[in-house]
Amino acid sequence: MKKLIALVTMSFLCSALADEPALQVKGAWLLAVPPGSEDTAIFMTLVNPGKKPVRIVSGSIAEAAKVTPMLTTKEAGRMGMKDVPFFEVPAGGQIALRPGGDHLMVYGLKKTLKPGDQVSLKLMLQSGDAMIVTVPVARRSPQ
Amino acid sequence: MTVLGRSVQAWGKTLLFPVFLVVLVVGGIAGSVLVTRDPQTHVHNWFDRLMWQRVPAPDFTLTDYNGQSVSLSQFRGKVVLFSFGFTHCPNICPATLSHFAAIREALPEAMRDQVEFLFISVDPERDTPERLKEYVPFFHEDFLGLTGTEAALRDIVYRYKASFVHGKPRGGNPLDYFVDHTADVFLVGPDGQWELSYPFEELPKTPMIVDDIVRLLPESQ
Repeated sequence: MKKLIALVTMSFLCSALADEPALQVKGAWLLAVPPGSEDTAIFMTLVNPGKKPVRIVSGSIAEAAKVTPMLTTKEAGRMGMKDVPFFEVPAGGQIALRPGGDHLMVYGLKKTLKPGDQVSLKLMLQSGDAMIVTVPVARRSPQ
Repeated sequence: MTVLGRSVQAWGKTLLFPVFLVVLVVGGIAGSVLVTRDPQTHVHNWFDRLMWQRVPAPDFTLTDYNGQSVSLSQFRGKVVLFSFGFTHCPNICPATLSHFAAIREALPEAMRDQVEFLFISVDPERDTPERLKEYVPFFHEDFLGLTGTEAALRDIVYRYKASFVHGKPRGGNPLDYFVDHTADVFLVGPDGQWELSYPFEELPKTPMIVDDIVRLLPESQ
């Protein structure tokens, strides 16, 4: 019996190790937008301590229709946005998603999110793994 | 080598101090002349003098979110900060309006009512006055949202050396599109002069922008 318990514990440990997130998320927040606004953005710093690049292909929150990677562009003095299929976090490196820059675009908010609210963001990686990140709603960067 | 019976080194030692004095005095005079040439420009104090332009701000008349006709010229006597954008903008525009709020908050309390913050929507199709009324005061109740006909907006951005482009509808929905637009913030002084434009990237530098505004207001002179 003891052997069995040890075995089960081992297997739990192993699976826990295997599920260790490929990315570390720092300072995530969702921009509070006025009532009636259906689109907003999520910002964060993504750190990849691993030896391989990691790609984020999409996200999802229960409170909105979809969450996708979005680049901010500057062309002929105009700022704009461009859909991209993924954000790549380089091996041993990091990327910053911040106001006025690249972001996770949130489409089709189903309700007005207020500062102080929290959403549970599921980040889908290209590897097929997913990560859950708790994201506070704020008017400005909490840092 | 000798000159007038003395070595060059000896002349050098004798002349070093007088020459140094002359350079100091001439330099000082030239410097003070440059700085005080026109006290109205206080150009040396500007946030970034390369952007300093000071030309009459092209006037414009648009409709505010209360349905009232509003002209830039009616804010004469106040400082005006304005930007172009659209309310479906998920990133740049809320960030700009949040910076406006931070700037307003950082102003000396007595000056806050002497600064007008305008958000000009270049997306009149979707940004009705009702929509603007919902959106703009969220950032601060005193901020004004304006828009107008596309022709009027094109004319205004042209005269401010700005621009906007409506993107193609996304996913077959004619009301789902992005608007690329100039994200600079324009600063107009109480005398109706367009003082300068702040690039979007510089907006987090609140204290420097506040310093510029304070300098423009009569109380500080």
